[in-house]
Order: sequence, then C-alpha cells, then structure tokens
Amino acid sequence: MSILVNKHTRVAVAGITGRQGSFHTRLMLEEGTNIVAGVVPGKGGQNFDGIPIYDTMLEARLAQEAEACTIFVPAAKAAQSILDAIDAGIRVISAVTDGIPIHDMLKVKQLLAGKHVYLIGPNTPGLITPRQAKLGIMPSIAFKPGCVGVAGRSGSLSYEVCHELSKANLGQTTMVGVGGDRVQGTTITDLIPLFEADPETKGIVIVGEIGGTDEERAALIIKESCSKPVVAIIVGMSAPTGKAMGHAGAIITQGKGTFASKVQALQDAGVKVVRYPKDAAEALLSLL
Amino acid sequence: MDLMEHQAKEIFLQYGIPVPKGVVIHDESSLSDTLATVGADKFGIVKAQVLTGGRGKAGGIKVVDSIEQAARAVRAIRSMKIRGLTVEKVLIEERLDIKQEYFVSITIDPETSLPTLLISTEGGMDIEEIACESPASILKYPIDLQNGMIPFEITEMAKCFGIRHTLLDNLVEIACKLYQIFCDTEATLVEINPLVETTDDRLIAADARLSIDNNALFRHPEFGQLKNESREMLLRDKGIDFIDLVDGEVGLLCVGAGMTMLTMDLVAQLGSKAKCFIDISHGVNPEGFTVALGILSSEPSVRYIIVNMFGGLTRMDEIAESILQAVETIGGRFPKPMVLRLQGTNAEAGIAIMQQAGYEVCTELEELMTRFKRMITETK
Repeated sequence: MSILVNKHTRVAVAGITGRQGSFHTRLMLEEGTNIVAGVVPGKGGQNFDGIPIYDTMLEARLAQEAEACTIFVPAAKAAQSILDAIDAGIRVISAVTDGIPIHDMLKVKQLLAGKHVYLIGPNTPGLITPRQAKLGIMPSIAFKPGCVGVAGRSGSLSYEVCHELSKANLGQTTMVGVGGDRVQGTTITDLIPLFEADPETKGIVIVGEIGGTDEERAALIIKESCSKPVVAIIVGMSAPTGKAMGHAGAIITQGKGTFASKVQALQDAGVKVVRYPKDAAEALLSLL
Repeated sequence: MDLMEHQAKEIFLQYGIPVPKGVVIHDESSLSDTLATVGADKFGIVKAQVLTGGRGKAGGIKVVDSIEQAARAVRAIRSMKIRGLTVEKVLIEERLDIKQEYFVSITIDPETSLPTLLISTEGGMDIEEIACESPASILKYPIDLQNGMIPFEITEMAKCFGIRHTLLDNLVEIACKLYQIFCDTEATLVEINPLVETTDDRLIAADARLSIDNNALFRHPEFGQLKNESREMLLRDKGIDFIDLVDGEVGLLCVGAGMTMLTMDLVAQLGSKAKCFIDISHGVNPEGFTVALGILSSEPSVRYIIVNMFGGLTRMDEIAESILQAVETIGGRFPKPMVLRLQGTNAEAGIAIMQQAGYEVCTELEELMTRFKRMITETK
C-alpha cells in the first residue's frame, strides 16, 4: 500500500518531449512508473520512446485511461495544462513546473474548489512511492520502499530527510512534496489523513520550514485524528526576519508562520520536533 | 519585485489614489531648484527610498522646516545605510496635517488562496504587533475572484468596524482602486500604511508599497525599466536568487530554499553565521555561476563558501561543469576557502568531474559540516 499512487497507477506526462520532460520521463520509467501517455498540444499522434502522445489530457484519459499526471510544461503555459488535467478528470496532478504566475494559480484554485482532485504543487519535486511510481523529479537514490509517510514543503530538504531515513533503514511508503509556492494545491494538512488511513504507513515525517501556516494547521489535524507517531523537522530558525517588505504577510497570519509558532503547535499535538535530518531518523526509530 | 515608495505612488496616482505632492532627488545639489519650482513651503518630509521595512525606525524619515534643514536631511539620509542598504534616492514631500492614520492592504491569504483586503483604524509603524495582540482590530475581507470586490459589502463591514460614515465612501473607493492595481499589475501585495485622514477630511496615501509577482513579469513590459534597475531581478534572469543577510561570514550556494535554510541553521549551530545565500534552483548555467562567484569574491565579509547541493531537477554533472567554467572565467581558482558537497541526480558524474579538476567533494551532509568546522577552526 501507499498513498495516491502505486505501480498500477496509469500516468500521463504533460510536456513529455521537452528538455526536462523527456529526461525525467526516462527516470520515472526506471523507478517503475506505469507511464501510458504523453500530452503535448500539436504533437498528437507522435510517440516518445513508444509512449503515445496526445494533444489534450482528455484524449489521454479516454484512450489510455490515464488517471494521474506529471506536468513539465513551461511556467507561462503550465496553469493551462493543470486546468486541462482537472477538466479531463485526472485524480492526481503533480505540477513540477517552477515559476507559475500566482494570479494564474488563484484561478486554478478557484476551479479546484469542491473537486476531488489532488493537485500536488506547483513548484514541487512531486510524489514518489519508491520502486513503484514516481511522478516528479526527485533523485531515486534518496528513497527506498518502507513504512514511513513523508510530507514535505521543500524539495531538496525532503531528499535529504528521506536519504537519512533510508540510511537508517526507514524506507518510505510515499513521499509527497507539496511545493514551495504561496498558492498551492494539496497541503501537508491534507496528507495527514491519507497517511493515517494507509495501513502500511507506520509513522509520519513532516519536513517543514518557516513561513505560511500549513504546519500549524497540520498540527491541529494530528491532535484530533492521527494515531501514528509523527516527527517534524522545521528549518529556518536562524533566518533573519524583516527581509519582507510589507506588513500584510505578517498581519494576515497573525503571528503564525514563525519558527517558534510552528514548533509550539506541533509539540502541543504530540509531535516530536527535531532540528536536523539525521535526528528525524533517530527520533522516528525510537517511536516505532 | 518590490517597487520603491515613489514608484508605487506614481502608479497609485494613475489610478486616482491621492498621494502627497513630492519630488525624488539623488542629492541636495538640485534641492533649491526643485523645491522652488513646486513651492518650497509645501515640503516638510524627507524619506529614504530603500527596499526594506523599518525605514522610519532606522532614521530614514526626517521632518524638516526649511530648505537648509532639508539639505542637511538629504545629506544625512544619503550617507546612511538602512539594514545594510545604501540610500540612492530620497523623496521629499509635503507634510500632511494628520487627524488619524489607517492601514489598508491587499495580499494573498495563504490559508484560503484568496486575495484579501485588510483594513485597520490603527495604521502606522506598529501595525504588526497590533495584529498579533488584537487580531479583531483588523478588518479582513476575502475577495471572491469571480465577483471581485463588492463595494457595499466593504461599506457594511467598515461601518460595523466603527469607521466614521463621512469617510466610508472615500475609503471604499480607495480599496476598490487598490484591488484594480492588484489585478492589473499582478501584484502579490499592495499596501498603504499609513492612509492619512487629514484635518480637512481628505484621505491621502502617505506611504505606498507594491510588490509585483516575479513570475508574471514576462507579460508586463511596462515594468521592464524598473526590472533593469533591480539587482535582484537581473540576477534572477541568470537563474540566481540572491539574498543578502547583511552580517555574517559564510556565503552559501545551494539548490532550493529548504536546503539553504537547513545549511544556514547548521552554520549557526557551529557558532558561525551566513552572510548571504545564492539559490540556483531556477536553472543553472556557467554565466549564472560566474556572477554568483563574482558576488562571493567581491564581498569582503564573506570568508568561507559552502556549496551544498542535493539535486532533483538540477543535474550534478551540469553543476560541476558550470562551476569549473565559472572558476576558469574568474581567474582559475575559487575565490575563498570552500567546502563542496554534491548529491542527487547525476551525482557520480558530477563528483568525478570535480575530483578530476582537483577538488575534494563529499556526498553526505554530516561530512560537509565536519569539513566546514575544520576549515573555520584552522583559519581562526
């Protein structure tokens, strides 16, 4: 078991012929991902390494029963690609693209409201169920199959944490990177109930950082309804404040979002908070 | 991209939001001429134009009564550093007769992913503390994207909030214009603090903040000129996010904000401090690295460099080649003592390239920090 994706998940890749799309499609295949289609408007009818290409996600779904997708489309057109996937009824959308205009994402979020779709990202490493399905760009070396569910905000830091977990023989059921943008789809908070419901996941690791309020909200969910041990790492303790220009950012979160606020909220929910990736593995070992 | 106060005020004015009369100057030589053409007696405040908060508390805003005082204030402000930033320009404005100060802002609420209007009757410097201590004193209005801002709803809320009825129309109109600016410029923040109510019952934007979404700049040629003036944006075009942390001794070169912050925390744990960080996650090329190494070598306070990469999208063989090419361009050697770690996508190839060029490379974070610790102990 795992969450969101496994070796049976039928995956389409939007932007499969681009520089990043083509390179990472091959790496995703190496991980075992069941890639059934590519989507590139204007290249319908062609193929990539034998994978059929369609003009739209809807065609990919109708012809190949694609149910999840990874998006490698450049920033200026990526929001359209996400909308195409939502409209086609794709269930899990992993939007790797970095640099999507935030006002485009506001519109995407509006269309997502009320739909049963997991939009992972944008600006995310994606999600991986090791040796079964990889919908993203994370380096496979950091991951191995196991019993830990990982939900992280920063890509490279999530790799680091999973790398330490793997070295301590704590493989992962699924790792999901929720992405670094201000407007994002699925949050860490949304992922906690999925890991709670997955029988193979025995423990959860949250890879957090200062800013936003996702960790604080996740803490509330954990307190209410999570029976599994949770370890969290929060980075940014030594980052100086006052670099941001406006006051509105601090006002709208009303004191939340700081290192102290996140640590407090998580500890109140019974989460073991650690400072460094190596400590996360040790802490989880002691709790399992 | 953050706009300076005077740049934001120009845009406010185009949308019909009243701002104080003022002029921007670079030094005091043109002061009397400039003031004479606009009417010197109207000018009473000299304000540093810098892209950071805390300007007032740092002494970057001075009240003046005469041209001589204004000249002294301009000289003083031009020679000061505000949070490490040099002041290139000052704005001289008329002084307003203040009855009350308000705070009006539109930004994106990360919890709802909606643009949200914030209004407070307690504008001024300590608005953040007020928001923490008494959140109820801030009016918070989430804006529905499809319908936009609905004026009568704001009027109703503002009325309940205790804003005097003679001000309501004016205030709501300013809020609507702010939202128009927010949408048209694809802003992430538009803010007036304070919005001044004068003794003769006018509302004037005494300060102005406008941050444009960097990711949307490609479809806003109107900001091309401002973009070219911004060091931050020029670097970003080369794939570099450069953040100056003002004081510290270590230059960090990392991929991704999370890894950068972790490295920063680890450096702090060893009793050292990061001076700046360079995040290359937006794409990597030799030119970008040349610029990055150039910054690190020209900053006298940077004594050490930590390169810490765990690549997913970023390929380590490309990183290694870019680093070597950049080092070649800047004179054949690394500008400062350096420790290096490469891990992730194509790491083996990257390490081989660096080792062949004579560099020591490690793969584990712990080893990197042990090497860094040894390096600072040996040189201290």
